[in-house]
Amino acid sequence: MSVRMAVFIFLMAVAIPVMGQEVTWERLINSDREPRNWLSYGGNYSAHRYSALEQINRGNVGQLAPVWIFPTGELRGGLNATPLVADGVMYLMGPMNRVFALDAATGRIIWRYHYKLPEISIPYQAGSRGLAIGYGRVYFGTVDNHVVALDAKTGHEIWQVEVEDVRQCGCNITSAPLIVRDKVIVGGTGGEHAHRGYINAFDAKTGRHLWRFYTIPAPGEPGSETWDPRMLKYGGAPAWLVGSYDPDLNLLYWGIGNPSSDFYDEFRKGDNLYSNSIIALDPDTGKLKWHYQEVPHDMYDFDSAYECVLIDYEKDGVKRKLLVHANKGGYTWVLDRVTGKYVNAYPHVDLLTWLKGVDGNGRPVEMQPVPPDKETYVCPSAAGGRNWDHSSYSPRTRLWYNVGWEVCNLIRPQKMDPVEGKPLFGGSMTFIPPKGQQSYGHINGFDPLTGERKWRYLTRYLNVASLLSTGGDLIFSGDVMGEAFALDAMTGKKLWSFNTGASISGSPITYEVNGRQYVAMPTGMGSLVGNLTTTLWPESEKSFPERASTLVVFALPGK
Amino acid sequence: MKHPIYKGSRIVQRSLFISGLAIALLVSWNERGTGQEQTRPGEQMVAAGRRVFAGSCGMAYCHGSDGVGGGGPRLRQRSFSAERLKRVISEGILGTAMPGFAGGLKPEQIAEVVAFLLSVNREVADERSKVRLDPHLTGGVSEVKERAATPVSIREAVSASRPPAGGGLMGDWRAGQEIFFDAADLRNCRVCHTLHGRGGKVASDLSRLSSEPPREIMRRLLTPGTTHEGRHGAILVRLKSGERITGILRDESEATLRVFDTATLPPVSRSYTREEIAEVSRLDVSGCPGGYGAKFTLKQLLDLIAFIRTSEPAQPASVGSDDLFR
Ligand code: HEC
Repeated sequence: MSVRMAVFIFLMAVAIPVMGQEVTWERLINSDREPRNWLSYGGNYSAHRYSALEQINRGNVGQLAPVWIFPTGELRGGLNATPLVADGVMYLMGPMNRVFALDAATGRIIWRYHYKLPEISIPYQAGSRGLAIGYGRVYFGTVDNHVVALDAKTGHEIWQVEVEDVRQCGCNITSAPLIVRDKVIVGGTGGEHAHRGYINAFDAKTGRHLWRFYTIPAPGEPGSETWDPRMLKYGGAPAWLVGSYDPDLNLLYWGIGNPSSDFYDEFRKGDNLYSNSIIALDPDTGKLKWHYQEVPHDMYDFDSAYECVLIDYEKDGVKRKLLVHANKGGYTWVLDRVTGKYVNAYPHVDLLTWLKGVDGNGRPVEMQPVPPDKETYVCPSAAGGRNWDHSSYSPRTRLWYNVGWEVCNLIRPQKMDPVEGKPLFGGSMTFIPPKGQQSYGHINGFDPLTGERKWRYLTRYLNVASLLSTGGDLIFSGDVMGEAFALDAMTGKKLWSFNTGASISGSPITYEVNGRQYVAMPTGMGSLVGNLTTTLWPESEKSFPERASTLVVFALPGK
Repeated sequence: MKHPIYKGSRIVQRSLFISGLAIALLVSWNERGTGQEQTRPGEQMVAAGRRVFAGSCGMAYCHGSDGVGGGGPRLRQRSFSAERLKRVISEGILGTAMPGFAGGLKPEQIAEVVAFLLSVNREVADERSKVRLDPHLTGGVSEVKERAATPVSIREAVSASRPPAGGGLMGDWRAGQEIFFDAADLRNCRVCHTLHGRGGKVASDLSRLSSEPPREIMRRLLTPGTTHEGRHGAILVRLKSGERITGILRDESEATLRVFDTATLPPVSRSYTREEIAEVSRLDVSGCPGGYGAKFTLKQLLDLIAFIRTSEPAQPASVGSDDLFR
């Protein structure tokens, strides 16, 4: 071998871990092979929020200490984000669509992009849950309903497109898009407005619109018979979070939100498809492959919008491709993700009044009526048996980790006529503790198929941050009073905590740069149900943290 | 008109900080009233306001029922001035989740909500700070009758102000508005044009046609973009990579050029550096999709003309087929 050749090979070998390699589709769908990075919103395309990194583990987590912090400089909206990390660079979305590329080892800014928001009132929230990276670009949706592509190296805008006028639809984008091959696929909010929900696909390279799937069928289409025709244009059913994808089946899974108006249901008699359903789409065409409705004719605001956790479950030599889905109503449905057929359902909270159970097809039986103009006691509350903050699945422990809230409410539906793009809640609710006891919350380790609970960690207040599980057999999360913490993934025992000083309502991740493992914890309340703590526990108000929007990053000392 | 509000709700900036919550709403409200003699709002009005509030603002995600709970700031036990309440409820707060309700609630309903919020404040307010409802808030209505919390239904609103039917076909400005802003049509006019203060900035504001005679507007609808080109004319951008983009110029600077790619709709704003561009040329075609003579019926064209000519919903334009021959 010539010297020149040897030098070239040496340089190539050194070049592999350096910054700025392109994140290809191959890398995105095989992200489990590179645990040092966190390439997509859910950690992988199965929404596991798991990393195999194990430098930080049950034995040493007690020494974990902050190594850098990064304030986004914008308090409105807190910090909900799931940061992404690729080859030493972190991409972070702050509130009001501020995007940053940071040196993931030091927090130093590489570039920043402050999206120019027009003078509007922002529906839902000013915070965003995250972004997507791929093909040398950063993709995100904006709180004024645009989709934007930036150059990942420079932060320069490449394209942007308006999905729909935010002032006309009362809807916007507060969650990350999902890249599927050559497409950027994105949902939107709108379940509390007179709006017709949808998912849109754009060409990742050009931004050109490729398809739109309406979550409410057009008149005459299959499923339209499950609606009063008056509400086909305004029935909500938003895809306000992000979907999952199975590359072997080429199926895109998305959870769909509640019908509007949330409580008052007189003008939407019927099952209201595809509200409160899991849908499987062909990502190439946007055509529906199958759907499964968890809560037909919702009257409680029990969204099915949360993450679809794809689990390859093996027991006694039998392999099953499952989709595990926590519904907002405190029940978890398990589906066969090939066919969409019902497999199992189990409660993930203790107190449920709205159903007696489910039948052989998983359909709720004896759903509690909620008549208009009077108060009905319903558990869990419309804030959910948990809220959007995501669960986690560890393929090591084979446990699915999920949060639960024991809070009830008095629902009072009220007639409200739909006006395009205007709020359409149709009633009100008052949050109260369960009858005869104090409200409480918990974090659980479940067998994802059977729902058998292996452990429970009780939380004093309600946990509004996502969970992260790691190869070090740890669960990371944070609480509303500002404590970042780690639990033992086998037992639920608390092993470490650190007071960050700000409520935690985002999604922690872990990654590695130059051989050192980091845990990044977004802090700063950015939850629409954030007020629940001080409502249910008035005494918490005096020590409740101030506003913030700061990423706090931890590592082991001296590593 | 369905969306009369959202015209620059410029109130805020300074009011955006406090509240340790997801969304900073209604913040610098702890201002006192005007200090004038204040009287209690009528109990009926408060009751009506409570219902309107519950249906619009009491959602969990906002202020909770009775103004406590929810994700937004607490509205109970705070002292707000009536004017400020009215303004914020009508216009919303820029840069926050607080929407403007002026399109969804009638002025009397807004007044009722103000009365209700003042009343929950009053429950704990200092004895001396009695609240008084400004007559201009209630639009001169001192006694508001109990009524269900229902904004005007779309259908009622449509039939209420239909222009008088003449001899031939008559245009209906509301039907024209539906076409212009139709959310289900990705090729609707608003993705490019603004009209009467709402819509896209890709192409020109068509409000400037509102005083043209119907016949002239019809001519332009049938051959759009032949009269007015300006900076919205169609261009072709040829890139060094070989890619060609046809569309409408958005803006350009020393270093970059942005073009609205209209190959698919909605239009995509695409940015290029000078180095990437081989050539930019003006095209001799209209940037407007056009073909409206074939796409729309005569009735729909009259609807569009009626809408273009209706700058004030209170003075709906009457446009009939006969006008096309005048
Ligand atoms: C892809 C963007 C686009 C869409 C969608 C669009 N237009 Fe246009 N339109 C243009 C452009 C560009 C022009 C020419 C320059 C200008 O007036 O801005 C134009 C011109 C016009 C003109 C002539 C204006 C004049 O002063 O002569 C009329 C009238 C018009 N459009 C009506 C419509 C109507 C009605 C619709 C919906 C049915 C519509 N356009 C949809 C881009 C668009």
